[in-house]
Amino acid sequence: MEGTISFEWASVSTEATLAVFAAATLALSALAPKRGEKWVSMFAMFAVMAALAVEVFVPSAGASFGGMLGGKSVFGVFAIACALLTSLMSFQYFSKGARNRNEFLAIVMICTAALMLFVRSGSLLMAFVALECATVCLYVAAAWSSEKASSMEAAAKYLVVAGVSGAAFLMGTAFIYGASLSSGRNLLLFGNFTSGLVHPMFLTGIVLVMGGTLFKMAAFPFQFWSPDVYQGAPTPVSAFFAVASKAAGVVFLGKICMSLDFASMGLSELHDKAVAAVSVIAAATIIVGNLGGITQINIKRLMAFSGVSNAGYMLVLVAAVLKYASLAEFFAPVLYFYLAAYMFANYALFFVINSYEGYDDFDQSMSDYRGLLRKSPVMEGTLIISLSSLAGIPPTAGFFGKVLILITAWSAQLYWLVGIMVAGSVVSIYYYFAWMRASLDTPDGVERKLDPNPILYPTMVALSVATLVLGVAVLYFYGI
Amino acid sequence: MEHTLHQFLFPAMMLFATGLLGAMFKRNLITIFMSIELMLCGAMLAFVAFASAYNDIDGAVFAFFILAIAAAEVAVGLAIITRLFKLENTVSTKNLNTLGD
Repeated sequence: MEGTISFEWASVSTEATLAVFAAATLALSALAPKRGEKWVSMFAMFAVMAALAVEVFVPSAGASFGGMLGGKSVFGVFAIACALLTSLMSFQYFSKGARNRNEFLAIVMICTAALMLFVRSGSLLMAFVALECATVCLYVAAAWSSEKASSMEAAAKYLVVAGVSGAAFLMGTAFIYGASLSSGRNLLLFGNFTSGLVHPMFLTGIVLVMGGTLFKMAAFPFQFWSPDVYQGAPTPVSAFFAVASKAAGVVFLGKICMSLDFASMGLSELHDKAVAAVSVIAAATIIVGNLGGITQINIKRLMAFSGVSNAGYMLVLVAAVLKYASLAEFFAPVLYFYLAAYMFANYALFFVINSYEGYDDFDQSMSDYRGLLRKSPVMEGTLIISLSSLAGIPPTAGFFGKVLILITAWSAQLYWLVGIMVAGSVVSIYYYFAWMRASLDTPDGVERKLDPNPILYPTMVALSVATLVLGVAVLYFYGI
Repeated sequence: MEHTLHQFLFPAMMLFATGLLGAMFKRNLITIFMSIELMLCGAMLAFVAFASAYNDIDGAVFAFFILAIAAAEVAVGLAIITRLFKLENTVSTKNLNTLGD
């Protein structure tokens, strides 16, 4: 395991920008007087924008740090967009009475940088360190409203579950390290995964690593934590859990699956077993997520079950690329299109959830939405467009995202999985539309009050328009 | 060489398994938290055992990374648990039922 390591700092410019500005934000918020708080927040928002500019305009250097890091991917832009939206949402959240706004922005920035490094990592050691860095940030973020029992309970549950999954991931890494020592090749590098497939110790390790990743993305059988954590965590943090953290898990899992080339090692039997395992997990995730959603009237828990079923749909794509390596070129475009649609719809819905009065919103239920149309047409429109996108109603982006995944799965000849995904989407219409129907009911006067923040209307409108435009853009792109 | 490796790997597996069982079946949050640390210790021991059996430095170095990460996790985790105890006057997972349907 020798080799020279060159330090290509340019390749981590975005992450470094985020980390340095996060430290600066922390220092400024400690030093600045109380009335300067607003300026520190502006500084933090500027920093996230600067990181976005660096991510877009500094060219990718490819693999660096002796293979520890891979090149940049679209995930960087995606993660920073999530950070921006979470920060915007947190302004409203903190105006409702929560404290320490600027420190929260710093935590979100560090967490974003860690998730980007996790997805870019070229070695399992790098992946573990980045994963744990992001996880510790998420513990802190979930526990932000420390005077609320619900927030602390969510943080404690996440602490236990993420701790166990992190330890399992680490044990898997230890096994793979052992396998690479006994075989004389550094199997911790993604590029060498294929040659490890003949080692039983490597296989044990990779199963543990994938299990740890399934925890992260809330897929069956490790989905049980997500309803409680989404429900109790502050709403901007729930949104970050639902989008950025889940997406990082899916992209990472896809990366592992695409690094395993069974065919070149002549292991067709093992290949079939692996495809069957991933397909069964995908199917079970879809079924569990949708069945859980049906009976749910608590809005934040409903979003969690919706997130579980969406993790299942994305796992269908992972199963397809695992089955036929020739489909790997479609993985990134299809997944990022789906993720973009998912991000627009999810953030729009969390903005609506966050627009209700009081920041102790863990018991917000569907009946609170009655009469929304009359109270705020903008929010009602956002709700209808975003829920249609999640349910997969054309011409929203969510519909085309699902269609692209279905086409990929069909080309991989996973017909039964296509059937389960379509059935799951049909079932999901039931609970998404129950929420929509509740919002169109006449109010009975006992609902929560709205606490709309006019600054946030443009964001909601922008997200809704993006959902529609992305859908129409696909039609234009394929010339339909 | 192989012999000594197994002498260390077996306790590492036992530590990991003990921690996993504790995290799954214990009701006290502090005990669960200790069990998680035990799992990390098991993994760390496995790294060090491999590193010393094959005379490779990487595993030993990685143990330090794990130590640092575990320390960060403990700092945040204990803060969360103490705060939870102040609010709910319990650290038993049986009594944590604010969240749910």
